[in-house]
Amino acid sequence: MSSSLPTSFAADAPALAAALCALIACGTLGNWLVLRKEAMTGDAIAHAVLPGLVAGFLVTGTRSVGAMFVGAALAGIAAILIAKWIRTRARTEAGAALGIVFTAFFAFGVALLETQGARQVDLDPECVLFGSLETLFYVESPDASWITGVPRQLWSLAGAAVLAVLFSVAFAKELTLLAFDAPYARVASKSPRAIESALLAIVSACIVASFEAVGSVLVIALLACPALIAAPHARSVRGQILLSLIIGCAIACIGYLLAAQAESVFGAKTALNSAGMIAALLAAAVPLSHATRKLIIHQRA
Amino acid sequence: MIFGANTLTVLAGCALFGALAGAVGTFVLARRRALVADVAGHATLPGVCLAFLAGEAWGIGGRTPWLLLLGGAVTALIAACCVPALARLRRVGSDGATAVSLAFFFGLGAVLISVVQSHESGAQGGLRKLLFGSAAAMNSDDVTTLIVLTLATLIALSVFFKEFALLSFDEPFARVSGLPVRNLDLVLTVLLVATVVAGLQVAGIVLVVAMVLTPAAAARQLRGSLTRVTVMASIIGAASAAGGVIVSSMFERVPTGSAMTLVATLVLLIAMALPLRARLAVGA
Amino acid sequence: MTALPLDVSALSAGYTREEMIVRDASFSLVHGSMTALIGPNGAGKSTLLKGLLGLLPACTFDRIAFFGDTLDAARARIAYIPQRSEIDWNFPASALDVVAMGLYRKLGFFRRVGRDAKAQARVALEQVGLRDEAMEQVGELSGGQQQRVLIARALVQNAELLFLDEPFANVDAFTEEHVAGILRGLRDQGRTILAVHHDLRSVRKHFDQVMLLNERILAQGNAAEVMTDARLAEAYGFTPNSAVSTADKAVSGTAA
Repeated sequence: MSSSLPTSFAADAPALAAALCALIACGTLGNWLVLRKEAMTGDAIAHAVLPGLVAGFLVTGTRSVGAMFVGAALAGIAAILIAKWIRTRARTEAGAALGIVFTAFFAFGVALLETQGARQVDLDPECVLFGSLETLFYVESPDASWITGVPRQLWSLAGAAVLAVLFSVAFAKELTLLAFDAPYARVASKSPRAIESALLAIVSACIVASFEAVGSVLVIALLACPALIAAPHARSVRGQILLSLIIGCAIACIGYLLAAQAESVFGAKTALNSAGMIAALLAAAVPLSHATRKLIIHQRA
Repeated sequence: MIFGANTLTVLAGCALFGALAGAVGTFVLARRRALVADVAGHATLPGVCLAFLAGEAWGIGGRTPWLLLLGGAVTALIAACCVPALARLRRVGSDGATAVSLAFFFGLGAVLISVVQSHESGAQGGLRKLLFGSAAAMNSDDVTTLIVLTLATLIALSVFFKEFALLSFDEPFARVSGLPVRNLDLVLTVLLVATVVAGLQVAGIVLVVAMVLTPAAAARQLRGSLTRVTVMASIIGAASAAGGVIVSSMFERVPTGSAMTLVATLVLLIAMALPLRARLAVGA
Repeated sequence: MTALPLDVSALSAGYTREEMIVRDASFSLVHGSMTALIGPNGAGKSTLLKGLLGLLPACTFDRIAFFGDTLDAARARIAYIPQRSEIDWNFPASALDVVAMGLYRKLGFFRRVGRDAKAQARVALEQVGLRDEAMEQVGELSGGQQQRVLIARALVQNAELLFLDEPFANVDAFTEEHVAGILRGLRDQGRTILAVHHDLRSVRKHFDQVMLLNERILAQGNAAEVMTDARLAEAYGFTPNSAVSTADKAVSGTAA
């Protein structure tokens, strides 16, 4: 977690950029999850990737992005599949199965982290929950090009954002049909299962990419809230996604600045946790957005 | 083994909590409130932080157990009540409502914990232990609070057992026969929050939900009547909690919450693997 | 001779292997027929439909042939219209958007819904009498209008074999008449229709063929042949109101 506060905008820029990339990645995919009534699946994956992340590190012995990424994505997908198995096998509601599986994965992850890798992985469980946006700095070095100064997490977040948007644009039709009317989609085409698996894999990948920088609090908020803010006003899926990203980005900027400038805004002693601030604001915007819609309808009538 | 207070008392307190969590979990599962339990667990964080800050401000010390738990209970209860209210909004649904409530309260908690950390007080370290639970860090005040709260909740649960049983089994019938369904659901939510709060010290904010869900799910594999399932859930919960405390005392770095969750999950997997006949035998 | 639109033999279907809901169902549909699948609650009407379309986890059969071919080869010619309650009508989409979904398969991956597709969707909406509702949100349409939107989606797909699950559930009598008229029109164009139906009183009014199901198929044939008191009693476990079966039997029934 950060100890001191960067004051200039240049110092804030990487963290804000990371938050916005995470918003585009998770926010776009979150629309599909919300339309499929699977908002909590994102929450479950966000907790369940932890043991994979740690195991990826332990197996390769380095903090290589690749290994941790693969480990985490595998853990996320495994958790969802096991939850499905428990749901049918143990006859519990979907939510209970998710809750059982993601707590087990997370517990295992925390245990691994604390016993095996705490020092080496340089990842403390608290960071996993609340993120470490504030520690993303632009490192200036006179002899290298500007690119090397950009924090590593920002690159993977930007990649995740591009991946999420490309996937959503390319398979917009198929994802829409599956979310609206899955039985029809399953009869009309053989491929829906492949697309559902791809969605799951890409959600996992984006969560992993976002996880390290923004923490699970913000990941959960980013997956559910932007889509739910846009939902009451949307008249088409494309409209909902665009609206969710626009409002989401605006709220993320406000939240980040409020937290980073907490000393001057609230008279706090230090900067506040920006991931948490953005998450809370996004969530608070959901009922507000619904109230606005009612107001608009009321005024028209 | 390293314990802050008398080892046996801590162990007994944790087992008692496990029994309560299992019993409450049976009804939480039956009423399909699993993820509300998750929200309640996470949503204790802002309340706990606020209570800490209040305690510091009033000069009674931030780490006053009853104050922390009261604070956590207040925000957890608000969050749990937000879920059905949000679910009524158009295009939100129970799934979205759960996620939104969780995001708001846990996000707020993240902000407040950064406020707490900026506080010049030696006591804030104890607050971090609440995230994943630590039986070793419990002092005698904590244990007393845990046991009193758990016993009170267990008694309340047994008072309403008959009504909860009817409600879980057949809601329409319960409605027609004049049971105040909404109030009973509220009572169940209050009991759930009390359970979650009681378990904060032991199982931790993030993982306390596992102690509510997993033992109850394991007990459900063993079939039998609701009373039997509830009793089995309590036994499994108590065993998992005690097992978790022992495991985490052997591997010092493993938080108690993690250990308990893993033990309970193991029990669930065993229960699921049992052949049907064995399950019936245990259930009967 | 062309192959039958649907030929099923020894189909058993359910949610787990241990508990099959439909057992050993064998039947076939002929071209241009409109068949009602009837039976008591829990008889497995929806299960039969879902099972033969590969939507259930547990399913065994000797043979299921669509136009003499496998399901995968025939998907383009089949449309499944699920129960209205299975669909989330709060979805952000206009009636036109939903009808255009019928063209997604033909468009294939990566292609967007263009002007041409929208024009086709409009034509289909006109055929079901919803020209003016094209841009309405589907959630704001009435139950009957929603049902017609789903039929229009099958129309634009140009499906030759339509499976409908309870198309007349929760719609008023006028709408039921309207939707049934549209379906009869489709039959007269040579399409084949199989619909789950629960209202015994209107079976004979809307359908020419009837299939009676209670876990097993008890009878299939012309509505008049199948809808006898004896058969219905066997399926439903009681003798239904005689007025349900046939008018002339109703007379003899009351006399007896």
